[in-house]
This record gives sequence, C-alpha cells and structure tokens, in this order.
Amino acid sequence: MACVPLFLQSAVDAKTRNTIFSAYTSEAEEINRKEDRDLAVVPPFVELQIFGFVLIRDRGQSSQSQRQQSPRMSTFGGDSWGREAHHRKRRVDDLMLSSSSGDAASSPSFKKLSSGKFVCLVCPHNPILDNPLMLSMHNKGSRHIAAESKARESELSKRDESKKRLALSADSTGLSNSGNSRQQIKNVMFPNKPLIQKTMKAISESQCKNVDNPNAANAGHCSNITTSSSIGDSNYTCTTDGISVPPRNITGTANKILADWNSELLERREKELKFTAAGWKRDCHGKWYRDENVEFDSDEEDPNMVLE
Amino acid sequence: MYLYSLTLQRAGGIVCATNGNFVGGKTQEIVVARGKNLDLLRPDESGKLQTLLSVDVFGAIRSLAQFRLTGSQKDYLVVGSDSGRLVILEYSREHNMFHKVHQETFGKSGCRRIVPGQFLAVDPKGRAVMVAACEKQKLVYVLNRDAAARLTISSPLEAHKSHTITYSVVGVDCGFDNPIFASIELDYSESDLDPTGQAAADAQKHLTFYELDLGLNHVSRKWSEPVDNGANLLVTVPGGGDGPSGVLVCAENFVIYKNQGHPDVRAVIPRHTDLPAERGVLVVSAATHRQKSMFFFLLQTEYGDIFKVTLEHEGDRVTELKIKYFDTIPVTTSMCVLKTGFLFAASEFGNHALYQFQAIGEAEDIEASSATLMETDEGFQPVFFQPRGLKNLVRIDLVESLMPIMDMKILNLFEEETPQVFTLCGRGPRSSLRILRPGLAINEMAVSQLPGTPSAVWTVKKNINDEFDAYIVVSFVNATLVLSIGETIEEVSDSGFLDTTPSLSVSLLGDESLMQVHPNGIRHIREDGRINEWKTPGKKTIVKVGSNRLQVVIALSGGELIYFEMDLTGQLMEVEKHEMPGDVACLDIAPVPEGRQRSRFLAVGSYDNTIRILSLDPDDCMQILSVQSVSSPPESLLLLEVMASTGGEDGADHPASVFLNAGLQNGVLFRTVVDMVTGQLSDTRSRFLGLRAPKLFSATVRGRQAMLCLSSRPWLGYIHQGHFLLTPLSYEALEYAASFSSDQCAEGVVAVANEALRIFTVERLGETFNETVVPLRYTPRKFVLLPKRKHLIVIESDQGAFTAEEREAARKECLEAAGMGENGNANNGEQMENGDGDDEKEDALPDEQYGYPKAESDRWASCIRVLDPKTGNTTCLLELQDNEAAFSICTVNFHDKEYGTLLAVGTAKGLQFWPKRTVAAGFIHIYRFVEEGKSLELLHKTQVEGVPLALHQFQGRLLAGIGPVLRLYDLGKRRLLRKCENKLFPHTIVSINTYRDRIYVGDIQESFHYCKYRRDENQLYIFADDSVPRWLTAAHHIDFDTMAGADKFGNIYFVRLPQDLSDEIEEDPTGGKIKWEQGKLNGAPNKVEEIVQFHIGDVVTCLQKASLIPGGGECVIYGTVMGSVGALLPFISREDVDFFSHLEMHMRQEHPPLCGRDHMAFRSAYFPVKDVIDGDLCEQFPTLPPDLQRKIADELDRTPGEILKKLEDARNKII
Repeated sequence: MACVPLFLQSAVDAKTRNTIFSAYTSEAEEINRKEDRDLAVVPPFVELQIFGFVLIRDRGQSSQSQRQQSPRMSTFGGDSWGREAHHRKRRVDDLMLSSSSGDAASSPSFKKLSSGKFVCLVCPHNPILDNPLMLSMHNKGSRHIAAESKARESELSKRDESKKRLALSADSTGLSNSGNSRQQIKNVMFPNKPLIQKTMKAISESQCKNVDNPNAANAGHCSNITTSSSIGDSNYTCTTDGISVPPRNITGTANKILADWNSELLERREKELKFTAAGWKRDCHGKWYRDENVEFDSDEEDPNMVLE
Repeated sequence: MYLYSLTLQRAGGIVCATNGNFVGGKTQEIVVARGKNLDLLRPDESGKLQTLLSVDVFGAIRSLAQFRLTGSQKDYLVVGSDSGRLVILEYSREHNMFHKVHQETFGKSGCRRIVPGQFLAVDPKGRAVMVAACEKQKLVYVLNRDAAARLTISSPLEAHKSHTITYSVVGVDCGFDNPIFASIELDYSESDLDPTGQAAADAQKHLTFYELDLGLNHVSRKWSEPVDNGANLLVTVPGGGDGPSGVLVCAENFVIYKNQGHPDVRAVIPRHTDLPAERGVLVVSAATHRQKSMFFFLLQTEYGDIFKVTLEHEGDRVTELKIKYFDTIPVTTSMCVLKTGFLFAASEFGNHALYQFQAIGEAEDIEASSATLMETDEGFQPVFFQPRGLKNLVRIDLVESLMPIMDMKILNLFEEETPQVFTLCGRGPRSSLRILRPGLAINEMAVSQLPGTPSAVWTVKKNINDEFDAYIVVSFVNATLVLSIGETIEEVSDSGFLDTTPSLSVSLLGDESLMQVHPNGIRHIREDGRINEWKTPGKKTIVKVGSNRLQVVIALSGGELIYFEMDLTGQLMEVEKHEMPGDVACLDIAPVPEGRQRSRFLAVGSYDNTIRILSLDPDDCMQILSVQSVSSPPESLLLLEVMASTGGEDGADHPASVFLNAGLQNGVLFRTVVDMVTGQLSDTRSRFLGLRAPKLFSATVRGRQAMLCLSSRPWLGYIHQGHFLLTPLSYEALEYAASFSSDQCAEGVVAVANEALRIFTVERLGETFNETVVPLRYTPRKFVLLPKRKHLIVIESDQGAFTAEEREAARKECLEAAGMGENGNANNGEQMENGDGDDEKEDALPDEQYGYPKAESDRWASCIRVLDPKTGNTTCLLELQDNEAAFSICTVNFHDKEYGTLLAVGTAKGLQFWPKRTVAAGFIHIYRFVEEGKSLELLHKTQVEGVPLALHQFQGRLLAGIGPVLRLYDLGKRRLLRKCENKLFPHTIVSINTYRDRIYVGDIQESFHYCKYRRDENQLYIFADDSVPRWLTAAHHIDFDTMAGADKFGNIYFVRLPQDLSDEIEEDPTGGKIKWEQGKLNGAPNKVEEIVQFHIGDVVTCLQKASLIPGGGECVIYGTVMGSVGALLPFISREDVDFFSHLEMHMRQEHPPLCGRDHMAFRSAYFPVKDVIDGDLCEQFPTLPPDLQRKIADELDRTPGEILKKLEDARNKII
C-alpha cells in the first residue's frame, strides 16, 4: 500500500489545487470537499487518508509560499500553469490507479496486462485501454459506472444467496465443510428442517461450486479472469431462523482439500465440455451417445469409458 | 465515431481516354478518366509521361470527347458522367486547372438506363455534340461561338427513339455539310411483345444516321440500314476532302465500311491459329491517325492484337479495305495516337504503356483484304496469323496501375520503420504481388566502398556556368578524399584541396574558385591555382560553417561568429565578428537571390534551444532580427528559398518566400516562414521524422530547390503541382548527402552511409507509394501470411485458361509443327517484362504481353504459391489438377493435433457461371508445411457440397462457409470431421471473422450476421444481423461489437451491436435467451446499427485496420478495384470534427465538383453519408483562388495558413 505525500509544501495557489483535486474519483472528491469545509476548524496540519493516501497539507505555509513564488515560470516552458496542472492531474490519476489496484477491500476493477495495457474487468466486453489515463477516463464513463453498479448488485445478490445457502448447508451432513462438532451443534439447532438429506447435499454441493468459482457458468470469454472471493479468506456470519452462529474458521488443510476437490470438478467439467464440443450428447440416463449429424474419427475416445 | 476519409493512392485504372491539344500550342496531351479522377498527361522530351494535373471530380466519369472550334488553337473537353449533366471543360495553363465552360443539365443523376452520359460523339468539325444513353435517349447540343469568340451551347435537340438499345455512337465526318451522327441500335419493341421469343431471336441491329439540320435547328433520322448482329463499335472515317467519309463498323470477326448510298466493303479480321473455332474476334478499342495526305486506323481485338486498317478510295468510293497485322500489346480500354509519334495504350488491367512508332506497318505482313474475301458454304474464309514480337512499336514508358486490387494486407515483414502494403493486383498473365512502401522510389546508380567511414560528402562545380559537378569531396575523421567526376569517378590529387585534414565544408566560391573549410582555417583555391589560406586565431577551431556563393560565416569554438564576404577582386574579406552567448550548434545562409549582392539572412542555432536570425546587411550587420525558441537543440538548419514563378512547368504561380527548416535533436523537423523584409518568423510547423536528428541538405528536383532530410530514414521536401510535399524515400538511413549532377544523371544525390558512397536519383515524384513487383501466374484471389516463417501463401485461379503443362505441351507442338522461327524473327530481342520469372525467361512472346491462349469458359487453371516476400522467390508452386480452382485460404492450428500450423484451401471443381451457376464439387484441402514452411504437402482433401468461399480458424478448429451453411470442422485422420453447422444463412457466406467466442459472418448479399458458438451445446447461434441487404465485397473486424464492410456499389460502412444488447448477450448465464429468442421474418432477434456510411465510388475489395506510420493511430485502409488505396482515420477530438465538417461544408458550397455531380449527393449515392468527412474535398482547399481561401478561412475564424496546417496534420496522422 503506497503512501504518497502529495503536497508537503504546496506551492500552488488555491485554484490549481482545486483542479488537481478534481482529478480524484468522486469519493475522493467528496471527502476533499468536506475537508475544505473543515479547513476553517482543523489545525494547520491536516492528515487525510484516502484509499491509502496520506495527504498532508499545510494551510498556513501554503499561503505564504504562494505569495513568495507566485510569478514563477512553469518547468515546462511558457508561463502557463495549465500544462503543469494537467501533468499533475495525470500523475495523480496514475497514483490513484495503482493504489486502487492494491486495494483488497473490493475485487480489482482492472488488470494490468503483460503488454502494459489495462483491461477493465467490470465492463462486460472487457475493453483494453492503452494507458492509466485512458483507464481513468474510462472509469469515469457512464457505461463503466452502470456496469459497476450492476456488478455490485450482482455481487451483493450472490453474497446474499451464498449466505442463505451456507446457512442451509450448515444443516447438512456428509459433504459439509465444517468440522464434526459443529455438525452436531447444527443438528441440534435445526432438528426439524423441511428438507430431506439428499436435497441438503445437493444444495451444499452446488453452493460450494458456486462460491468457489462464480464465473464458471459463463466461462466463455472470461475464463481467465477470476474474482478472488473464496470462502477461505472471508468470514461469514450465518444467520438462520434468527439464531446467530459464530463465524467459522476453516483450517488450511480443509481449504486444500476443498481446492483439490474443486479443481477435480473443473477438470471433469472441462472434459465433458470437450466431448460435447466434439459432438457427443447425453441421454436422460447420463449416458453418452454420438450425435447423428456429427462425424467422428475412427479412433475417437468414448466418453462413456473415459469419464467412468 | 467520426472518420476522416483520405485517398492515399489515386486509382490507377483508366475508364476512357482521349487526346488533344488542351494546353494550346504544339504539344499534345492525353486526358484520362480514372473512375472519379480526371488526369491530364503529357509525354515529356525523354518520353516519360508526366501528370500535369489530377483532379477529383466526385462523380463517375463514363465518357470523354474532345473537340475544337474551327480556327481555334485549343481543344475543349466534353465529359459524360453520372451527374445527369453535360460538362465542357477548358484547361487553363495559368492556374493549372480545368475550368467549367458549360454545364448543361438534362436528366437525373446516377448511371441509369435512359439518362444520357454513357456515349459521347462529337462532330469532327466541332459544331455539335451528341450525348446518348444506353437506351432510348440521345441529345444533340449545337456548339458555336459568340462575338467575343466564347464557346456557346444551344439548348438540347432530341433524337430519342424508344425501345432501342444503343451500342456505339460517333460523329460522321462530312466536311462542312450538316453534322451527322451514326449509331448502332437495336429495336426491342417487338421482342418485348412476343412471348414466344421468336422476335427476340430475329432482332436485328441497325446502323442509323442522325442529321442535325443547322438551318432548321432540328435532328432527323436520316438513314437506317441493318448491320451485322455482331456489330459493337463504330469508327469515323475522315471525309470532307480528306477521305471518303462514312464509318467503319467493327463486328464480330469483320470490319465493314458503310456509308449512305455506298455498298458495304467487308474484310475479315485475321485470327490466331490456336483460337478455338467457336470463339469470335471482337474489336475492343480503336484509334485513328490522320495526316494531310493519308489516314489509317488501329483496331485492337480482345486478344490484344492491333490491326492497321487502310482504305483504298477514289474520291468518295471505297474500293478496298485492308486489315493488316500490326503488333500485339496488352488489351486496352482505349488507345490514343499522338501526332508526335506516340501511342498511349490505357490497359484494361495492370500497367499502362506509352509506345513509340518505329514504323507504321508498311512492311510485309499478314493481311486480310476485302478484295480477297472468299465466301464458302460455311461462311467467309478466315485468315490466320501467329503473333510475333513487336515490330512497329517500342515501349518507352510504363504508367503503374494497381488495378484491380484483389486482396491487400498491411504487414511489417521486413522490419522497416513503416509497414509495407502487400497487394495482389492484376488479372490473368498480368497479375502480380506488389509490395508498396510509403515513400518515393529510388533508382540507385552506383554504390562504391570507401577506405574508411566517411563523415561528410560534397559535390562542387569548377565554374558557376558548368552544367555538371566536377568533384565529389568526401571527408573522413582525419582526411579528405577528392574524386573527380567524368566518364568514371576516380581519385585525384591535383585539385588543390588539403587532404590531410577533415573538411567542414567544400563549395564553389564566386564564379570559379573553390573553398575548403577545415577545422583550422579556410582554404581558398583560385581558378589559376593560387591558394589563399586563412588561419583561425589562437587555439580556436572552426566548428560550423555556413556559406553560399559569395558569403561565408564560420563559427569558432566558444561561440564566435566571423563573417566573410567576397569582394570584387575575388578575395575573401573578413567583414564582421559577433560573439554568441554559447557554442553554435548549426548555421546556414540562404543562397544569394538572383540579381543581388548578398543574402540578407543568417540563421544560427544554439544549444540553448533557440534559433536566431541575424542580418548580413552592411547597415545592421550581425544584428539579431528575431529569435525562435524550439523544443530541443537544433542539429541542422536550412534556409529554403521558393522562387517566385508564374506558369511554370505545372502552370501554377508561386510567390517568393523563404522557409527556415531546422532539424532538432529530438527528431523533429521544424519549419517556419521567414519574412523577406523584417526577418520575423511566423507560421511554424513541426513534424516528427524519425529517431535521429534530421540533417538538412539542399537538393534540386525538377530544376527547383528541394530539401533532403536525413533522419532514421531519408525524406525529400519538394514542390509538386504547386504544393510543398515532404515524403520519405524508400532507402536506407544515410549519414550525409549532397546534390549530384553529371551527364549520366542530371538530378541525383550523392550520399554516404557506413563505409559506402551512394549515388541515386529520385523517381516518380508526387506518388505516395513506391512498389516492388513480384509476377504471378493467374489472377490472384487471396493470400495469407505464415506468421512464423514470414512467408506468403497466395491462391491464384483463372477461368478459361489452360494449365501450365497444357500450355507448355501446346507450345511445343506448335513449334514442332511450324518449325522454329517460321513466323519470322521469334527472337528479335523484344524482351518485355518476363512472365513467371521461372520457366519463361527465354521466351520471346511473354504471356504478360501476349496473354494466355484461350480455352473454353468452363476450364479453370489454378495454383497455390508459397512466396518469400523478401526475395520475391516462389518456394513452392502447386498447380491444382482436374479443373479445380482455389477460392479461399486460411492457416489453421487444430487444437492438440500434432501437425502445428496447417493450411486450408477451399476449391471448386468445374465451376460454371453461365447459363446457370453450377459446380461439380467443392473441396477443402488441408496442407502441411514442410521444409521450414517453404513447401506444402497435401494431408487430405474433404469433399463438400458447395464452393467454400470463406475459411477461418476458430477455437482450434476450422470454420467454413459453404454456400449458405456455416460449418465447424475438426481435423480427422483421413478427412475433416463435421462437428457442428448452422444452415440459416440467407445466400452465400463470403467472409468469416472471429473474436473470442463470437463469429462475424458476412453474407454475399445480406451483410453481417453475428453468431456465437456454445461449447456446452455444440451449437452455433445467430443472435444479430443487419437490417440492410448489403452485397458484401470486403469485411474487417474492428472491435468486439463492430464490423467494417464494403458493398459492391462502392460504399463503406460500419455496423455496431448496441452496447446494451451486447451486454445482455454476454451476460446471459443460462443461455436460454439466445437459444429461444426469435426474430421476425426469419431474421435474427437483434439488429446491428449502422454507425458509419460513406460512398467511395469504387468497389472496395479489401479492408484492414492498420497504422502506416510508426506510433500513429490505427485507421482503416482499403483497396479498390480501380487500384486506389485509401484510409479512414477516426477523429480523436470533437473540435477537429467540427472544424473539418465546417470546412467540408464550405468547400461543398464554394467549390462544387467539376463534372457537375453534387458532392453530398455523390457521397450519399446509395445511403446517406454518416459521420465521415471527405478529406479529398477538404484537400482541394489549396487549389482555390486566394480570395476564396481567405473567405472560407474567415468564416471558420482562422487564417488560410492554419487551415493548410490542419490539413497537413490530418494527412500526417495517416501517412
């Protein structure tokens, strides 16, 4: 998490400062504006933490130095402040970007490619942007904001759903992720659930898949993009029937087993997909048969054998 | 998205041509119509065709004719176009442009059946012009002159006849009697009414004479007589005392002389011995040569043979018509015989040529005559001949033409600074792969190795009046080498130059003395051999020199400037000293203006990023006149004087002006105007030239001062048709250069690079691209790149041609039967460009010139070629057997299969288009690359039920468009395995593009269909299509939702899937929607939106997204059938869009197109133009008169200079 002192000794006049600040994201701007209002009451040194930034500003000194240095030439030639301000704005955008990428609170909204370009992970068509400036401009666009809010909504609903299912799965036996003692507690807790054991199992199974790889469903074009919300590093507070259950801490080994199991599942699914793409179909018993419209090689693998 | 459309390379193909005396005086010019361009060409003294003027008319030119009012010295040009107007143009030498003299509206715009414009005929005495449509309408305009000798035109007189088709129209030469026009017509009124088809079978063509009665001001049908039903072309026969009058009717196999009240005189056109009996011979173009005492006609047949036709006549009675074999040249669209003894042949496809007459066919040759015409039971007895080498003509110049561009790719295969444009051009035996590089072509005359690494080079004359340079002086780190220029270039030691020191400058001083500046002094060598030496004071050395013929300024280390002038006695005198604040980076003096004693300005560049202009006037000597700060230290300076001229070679006026050019260390060329009086600098422009600091040198181009800039590649700044152009040269990076002139090369450049001395000339000024040609065997269809090996794989196919083996066998047979050289001088040294480069070297009749022997129309010849573009060598050539022809090609990597990259080729067997499109079978061949990609090996071949016109790799499999079916294939052991298909496409799939899991399919007549492949269901779904039925000719993928396409009516368009739809489709997690959603009327459920639309006016055959300059933004580059290359550049700022759309609007208003078509209507010919600004129109701004320029600029709140700068910037963003 980078801490960048932006204006230790601010030599810019108030107007320029405003321009610079306007480059912040809307949230930062809000804080900033609020901070401006507070300036009258806060002591000369103001320390602000915005997304891991430490902004230290010295009000008194700035006005002094401003008076001393106001007719200074810009380092970029000419006496225009515009270029410098513009440059700083870009730099601030740059820094904001790197800080938000390191932000663990939410999943990153973009990814830096090996080519140095950026790909926006929020927008559904994943636009590739040449430089941080373009990315920041894109991030301010209405489409991106719409996509972001959509993503946030779906994230929330997903979380809701998984919470619900976790709560349900707490009731199930067998494949549950939790330890034995907790199982007993749950069995005691929900003695008269309306679901039968088999359903519970199925729910928990699907829930595990869903939570661990939320993108598996539309693996079409964003299979290489993974969001980092797995159960391992998040603590859920499961609330069912008004009874609160303390957050579970899953041990490392359990986590590993889970991961193995998941990757196995994925592999199997990938194999199945390969067979469907090669023209195999499944009948109602889960048996594989050849599509009559598709041609096969003489030595083609039979999924009935391979996937046994 | 807003786009800026700009034509980079103008069309090369010629639709029609006419010759005449347009400039006035004795010279003869040729006017050619290249689709929407009108060019004025003239052969110069050396026999090279020069383009005097090229103007975009924003309309389709369909016919041209030239006429002259009696007693006048100058010809007018009549243009028939799609504007529904008749336009008469006059060339103005003063302004170097065509002036519209008259513009007469007669009908709707567009190329229509019954709106005249297709045919033009002029009375040979210039009294009337007839403009005719293909059907029904003919209008006659009477031309006259008023009291002030201005051309007047009457209102039109109608000569319509409904239900008739017109084939050809000419004016009959009948002296000063009433003007008569002849036409070949076919009446179809009865055929239309007869359902049995009997009348249609019996329909008869007629030759009709229309007489314009000048007294009554009325046109009447004077005479009509049936002619041969194969008649297609009329040629005027001179009359009115010069000849018998009447017309030649060119029909299939015959030429017939016809006149009113005269019996037909008929002769048979000789045929090739090897021509199949069922094929006729048609005349495609004709030219007439008239002198006082004689006249003859040159008729060219569809096989390229030219025949000389002469008429024996006594008064008005023609006794004999003779057709004599003349020569064979590639088939032309029109031929122009110039009075100066040249024949201009505008080729149907490929390069045009200028020939010179060696003889006029007086020698003995095969001849058909009306006197010896024999009629037998089977018809007339044919006359046979065998083509031979050129005897009467000799080719002296070629005009390059890319027509038709079949496919194009922009790649940087040679790792040069800019990418190369690879185009497949031409047709049949004249087809080629042309590698275009942005920049001017270079003709390298000599390269010689030097003993060390030279640092600089100069050329110097011995006397100011000498035509050629005397010495080349090369400076090394510690020595100077002097080479004398004569028959050969050799080292001399008696020149008087000091050879033990490096040189800083060598030049001619005064009239005939030489000067050498070296770090320790100035050596002045007088004409009598006396040497004056000036030594530097103290330990200072000379670092920089600037000099012209009479003035020398040196900069010493430390920043001291010393100014010398030559006095009347020829002595170099120190005039003034000046201390600069720091070291001098560079300096330059302008050449001495004509009639003046000295140049007034000295430019000095310093390391503190400034350039100063100092005065050299005695009054204020070495005073600083102005200072310019630049972004980086200047490395080199050049003051370029543009002399005032009026009516020069190109006819345009140029006011005198001085430009200061500076090469900055950051690679930017900085250019500014120096005020001739005050020395103030204004109107600065800068352009990035390359990574190295540009070094600037003066050169001469077409007698004018030009500028060479040597950066990481060389550039030439010169004036062409009144505009200053800065163009790269296609040559390696050079260190130092000087202009060079000797008797072998009048305007050359000598340059040093590495350890070599190079002498070269610059060719084809004014062109954007230069080309390297690799000949091909058949009409190229498509090509792909093998990315790893950088080889190109080309598929070629021709209809109605024999395969190479068959041709070889036939030729051997023919030679054996006839005996070698029976048909005379088979090896007369007439080696034109050789055909295939591999097996036909020793052939005297190259196919490129003489064409392939003709086969039946259902025969196909085709081949697959692997080509190394670096060397131009073909490493593998596979001829397809069994009447198969290749139509599509792609490289494909099948997933987890062992072969690596494979080549898929789609072929058709026995394809026929007439009477019905049929095909025996279609195949997809899979080839493996062997010998490091140099050769191909057939893996297997899969039969399919139609012609695979599109192939593409998709997720490790092969997608094929076979007729209306899109199919996904996997590689099997013996054949391709069909895995999945979608049969719901409307007509025929012609293009496939893919991106991620989306497939963009182009249908031949219904535009784009967006599809998605679902792996979990193994299904292809069409989820969106276009609402406009477009006849697609080219397609290119732009981004995830956008496709660019071109249709066969000459439009370019972009379609985009709306964002919300795209999101919906991508986020459909269950996939149910895409599966079950249905569109209306068999269409797809969603529709793409048209976001860009523009009428190019030419059929676009290929599109690609690419950047032609390093670091430049990408634009869409297109190639067309007429051989033009253009670009569409997206605007990046709203401000630019506003500016250019306003400029375009003003240009439309103030400068309407020349042929009378409204610009907006032209660009919206099929669909309203959308979001594209026509750069070609905007770039006509500099051709406007200055007051009009100022007026437009005022309305845009800018100066004309700013507008020019904007236009230049826009062009520089593309190329």
